[in-house]
Amino acid sequence: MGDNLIYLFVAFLITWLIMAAYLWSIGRQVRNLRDEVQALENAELPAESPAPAPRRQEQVESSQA
Amino acid sequence: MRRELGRIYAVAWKDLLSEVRTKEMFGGMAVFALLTIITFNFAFDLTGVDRAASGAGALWVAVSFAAMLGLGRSIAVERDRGSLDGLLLCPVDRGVLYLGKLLSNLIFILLVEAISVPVFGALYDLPIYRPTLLLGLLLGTIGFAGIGTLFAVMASTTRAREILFPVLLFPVAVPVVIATVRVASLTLTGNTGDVGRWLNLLVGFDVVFLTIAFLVFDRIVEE
Amino acid sequence: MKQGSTRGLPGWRFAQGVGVLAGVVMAIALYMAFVYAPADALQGDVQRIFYLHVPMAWVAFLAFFVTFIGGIGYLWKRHRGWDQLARASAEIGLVFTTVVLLSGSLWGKPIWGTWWTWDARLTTTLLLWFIYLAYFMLRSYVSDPERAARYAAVLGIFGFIDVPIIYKSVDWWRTLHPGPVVSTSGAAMPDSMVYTLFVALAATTLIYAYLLYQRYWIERTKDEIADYQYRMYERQLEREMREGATI
Repeated sequence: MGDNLIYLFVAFLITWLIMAAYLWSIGRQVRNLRDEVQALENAELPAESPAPAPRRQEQVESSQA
Repeated sequence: MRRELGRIYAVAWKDLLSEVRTKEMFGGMAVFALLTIITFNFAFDLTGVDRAASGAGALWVAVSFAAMLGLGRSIAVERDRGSLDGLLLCPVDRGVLYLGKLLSNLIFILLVEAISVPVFGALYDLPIYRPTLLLGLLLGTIGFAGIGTLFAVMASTTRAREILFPVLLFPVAVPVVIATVRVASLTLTGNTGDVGRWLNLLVGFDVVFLTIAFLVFDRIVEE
Repeated sequence: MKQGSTRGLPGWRFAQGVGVLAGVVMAIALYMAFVYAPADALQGDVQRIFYLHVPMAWVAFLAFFVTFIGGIGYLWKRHRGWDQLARASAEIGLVFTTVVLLSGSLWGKPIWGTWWTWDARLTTTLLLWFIYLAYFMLRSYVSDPERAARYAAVLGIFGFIDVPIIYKSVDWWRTLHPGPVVSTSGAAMPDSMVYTLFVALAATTLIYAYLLYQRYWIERTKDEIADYQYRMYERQLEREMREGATI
């Protein structure tokens, strides 16, 4: 019965490894997507903002330069 | 209702006529089934007293593989010819189209069985002319063709249709395989006690899945 | 594009809370599984795999149920969110089912002496795994994403309804060819084992919920980014056409 403990531990270990790898993979995807969304939002902001004030105008012009 | 039935027959009749003219599919299916049955003789020991049990499995494998070929071919040919689009242009309820295609597929497979089963019985000296066995084969074929017709349509739109179709069909069709082979082997060995519950399972499977297929076929073929 | 960011999505904090809770309950469950619950009279300590294997199996089935509901929702309402839910849950279900199969096999070897047996539960789980796999193969082979979603929904429906039928048929088949029987012990389970099982089930369900939320968010965001890029592309085309017209 002592030999059987190895099966117990291997089962839990493998499960842990699979779940940890999956969690890590999901975390990585979430991080990458958040970065991508941030990048898209940043690229969009100058173009979408209204440009009545001169300061804003300068910003728009400098981003187009 | 009568109009619907008429349309189902019309769809099926079109397929049958086209097959009679071209003779593409049926011959191939039948030969394939027969060759599979013969190959099983070399692969397994089908000569001993236990041959009834494994023979039942061999018969169903041969029939179902041939059926798969036929199901796949019939949809692929329709797509390639463009006749499926033609069918879809008709103002017909999609469920009716499904039943029509199912009927024609069913007829093809049953014809293949009509040849394979007697040959099988002769080659392996097994008593196949039992109504229970034939009923089991019929119900199993209906179930198999029922989901097969739907899955074949789905797979035919992809670039890997020959690979995808069995991958879709086999796991879902497992109850049919188990039940049909059980009915066959129980009947062939003479222990017909449990056959009733397997036949019930087949009827249940057929009713449930043909109904679902009928209901969702519309959403499968919309473009 | 605000919808895709975590700022806009409701419940992100709640999901993180669920994750923490899942971790806590998991720790309790592990303690109960290894320390609190007694060793099985017949099987010894190896039986403790039960507290991993069984909850995972139930939650894998729950995941498939969610995919089933998502499929029905998508076919009925045609709203993409249902499909995003369905495919998120299917992926998690596939991972959990893999764990169920591996743990079942590792449990079987010391107990029955064999890595596999065709008993009803294991066989149904194996077929469930293949149906999940077919789900993703189908999605990857169909080129149009909308059609892929529809087809996957149908397969999800068929597969889920089929699972109890598969189980029944394998069960009946096996009663005629009995093999090693899956059971926990000869007598009824002592209460401590039952409690441990339920805590383990709670932990597994919480983990599933946490993973599902994240995965769903991922699918939703991916779709929205794709939408956005398509809109930008369209806008660019329009601009080019206008400029070309004035020249």
